[in-house]
Amino acid sequence: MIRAIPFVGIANPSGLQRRARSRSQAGSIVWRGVALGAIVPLAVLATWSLAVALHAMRPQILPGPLAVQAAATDLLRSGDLVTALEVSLGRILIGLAIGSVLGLVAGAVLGRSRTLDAYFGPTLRTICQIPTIAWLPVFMLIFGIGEELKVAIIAKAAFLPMLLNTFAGVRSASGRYHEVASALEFGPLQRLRFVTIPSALPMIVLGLRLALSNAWHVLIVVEMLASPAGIGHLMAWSRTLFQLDVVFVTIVAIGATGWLMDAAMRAAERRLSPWSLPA
Amino acid sequence: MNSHVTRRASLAALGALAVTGALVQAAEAQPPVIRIGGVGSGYGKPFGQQGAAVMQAQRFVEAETKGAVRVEYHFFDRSGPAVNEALAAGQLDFASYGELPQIIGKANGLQTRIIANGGNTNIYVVVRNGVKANTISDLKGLRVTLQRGTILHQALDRLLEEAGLSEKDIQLYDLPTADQLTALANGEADASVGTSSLLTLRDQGIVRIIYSTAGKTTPDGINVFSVTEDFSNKYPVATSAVVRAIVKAAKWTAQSHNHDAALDIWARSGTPRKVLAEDLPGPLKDTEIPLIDELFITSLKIGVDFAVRNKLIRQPFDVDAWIDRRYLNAALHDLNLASYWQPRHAPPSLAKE
Repeated sequence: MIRAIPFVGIANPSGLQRRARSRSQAGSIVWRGVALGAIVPLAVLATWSLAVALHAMRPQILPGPLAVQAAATDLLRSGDLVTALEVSLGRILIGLAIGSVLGLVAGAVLGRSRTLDAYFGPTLRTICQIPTIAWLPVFMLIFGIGEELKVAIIAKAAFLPMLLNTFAGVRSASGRYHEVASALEFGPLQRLRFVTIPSALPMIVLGLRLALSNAWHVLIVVEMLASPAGIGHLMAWSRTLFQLDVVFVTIVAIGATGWLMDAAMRAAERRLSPWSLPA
Repeated sequence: MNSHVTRRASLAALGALAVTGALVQAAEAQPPVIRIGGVGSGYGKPFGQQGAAVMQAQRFVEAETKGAVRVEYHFFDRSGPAVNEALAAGQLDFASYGELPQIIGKANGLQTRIIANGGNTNIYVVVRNGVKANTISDLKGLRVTLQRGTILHQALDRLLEEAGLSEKDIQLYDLPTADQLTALANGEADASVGTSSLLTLRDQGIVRIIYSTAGKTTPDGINVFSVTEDFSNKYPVATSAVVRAIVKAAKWTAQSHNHDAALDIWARSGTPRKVLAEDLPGPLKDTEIPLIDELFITSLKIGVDFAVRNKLIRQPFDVDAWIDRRYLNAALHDLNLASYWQPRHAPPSLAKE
């Protein structure tokens, strides 16, 4: 009986058909996307090469693409780049797990309980308005300068988007679904399973995506300021060593890693909440 | 006869050309602006310490160039890398900063020449109160924090070597100065290597000083005054004027009746005057020595060796070819100060080939 209830998107024939139809075109659409997306980077690369060829800037300030590529090859061969990324991604994984779970719980609780929201909401939101990096000195005193510091900072960075989006998702569950749930005499768990979670899921996944992006940005800064390892440290250290070619490699690596993570999250978002796609 | 006239005419023309050439050169010898860079003290103030700050306050470069040239000073907070970037971007003509970032800049292709000793920065090794360590060898196994790739890092390396240890015997934490203070205060680090800013931490009862280079003749904490080759090739006259100003500033600082005034000048950098007075009690003749002497050159060679060993630079290079003594020798001679400072020798244990 419960399964027969047509919840949004779970059985959406028109959506399924659309997806099946578009699968045949998917290949060409992907290639079109890749081609269009490559125009700007290629133009930048061309301008860059030209600037270097014309000696518009000194190589210590703007190393050529070939020098950067050579530095990248060196870093890949020595394993330094991979090690640095491993360290950073490991920190992201732990910090994101902690921060997003806490944000999810806090967002769900405040979303469901207007009383608790009235008590804690304003304080939490005020605290979250303080940029994560501004917490660094305080966090250092509390967590020290080791791994706990990085994890705590990432958790803090992930917490806010997760809290706000979960809150919005839980609040957005339409009153009509709750009416249906009441009519069906759902218990609290069933209500959670069949009303709250399905309607909040798109927002939660969006929150997770924002949390990841936030965490990545913050981690790079923390690693540049206070870390003996990680991709952010590799960048700051290369600057100290005046090796701008390596700095450029780390910039590209940070951007590419961030983009890949975001792309993975968007794919997960589509998979987990197909009904959130615009019709 | 005709040919004779022609020859005379062409000789005259040549002579005229030569004179014009000299005039053009004389005209070129006045740059529109002289930009001098230094390192600030980390208090966010646009002033520095050492000779560059004295030159700025006493307007020695303006005096040497008869006020015909605009002189600019740029102090970058505690940041040798920023000075390197400014030099590479063509935003500075002269710079006085730590020998290690100088070496890193040179090794990465900055076209600079060393024109004078930039004076010494005193280096302190402190331990957190409660940590049982009284000498450098006691640092074994401790968590030591400092900023890597600086003259502090180079000094620690040498001090450890002197004590029969290496970096592997300690746990080194690379942190910016402000965070070092936090790490020491909350017990995350046991020791730190830094400058006079650590004296404030001692006054707060957080750390204890176990070693300092203050008052000692060591190859640690050396600053280097350099000029870009672009500038010195184009404006040798102005380069001579600046080096004369460097020497005049060193002489001015060395005179004990100027000691208080010097501390006042350096206090503009934000370093508390009390700290300066303890760090630099005087006489300052040897602290601000401009000479490119044996100790200075040995220190540079130690620096290059250290940088190669720690992979801070990819290739060693010839320190002697980096130095251009002509300007300093001329300035010492012109100002009648050739025998004012005593050249310092390197201790035999440090002598590098």
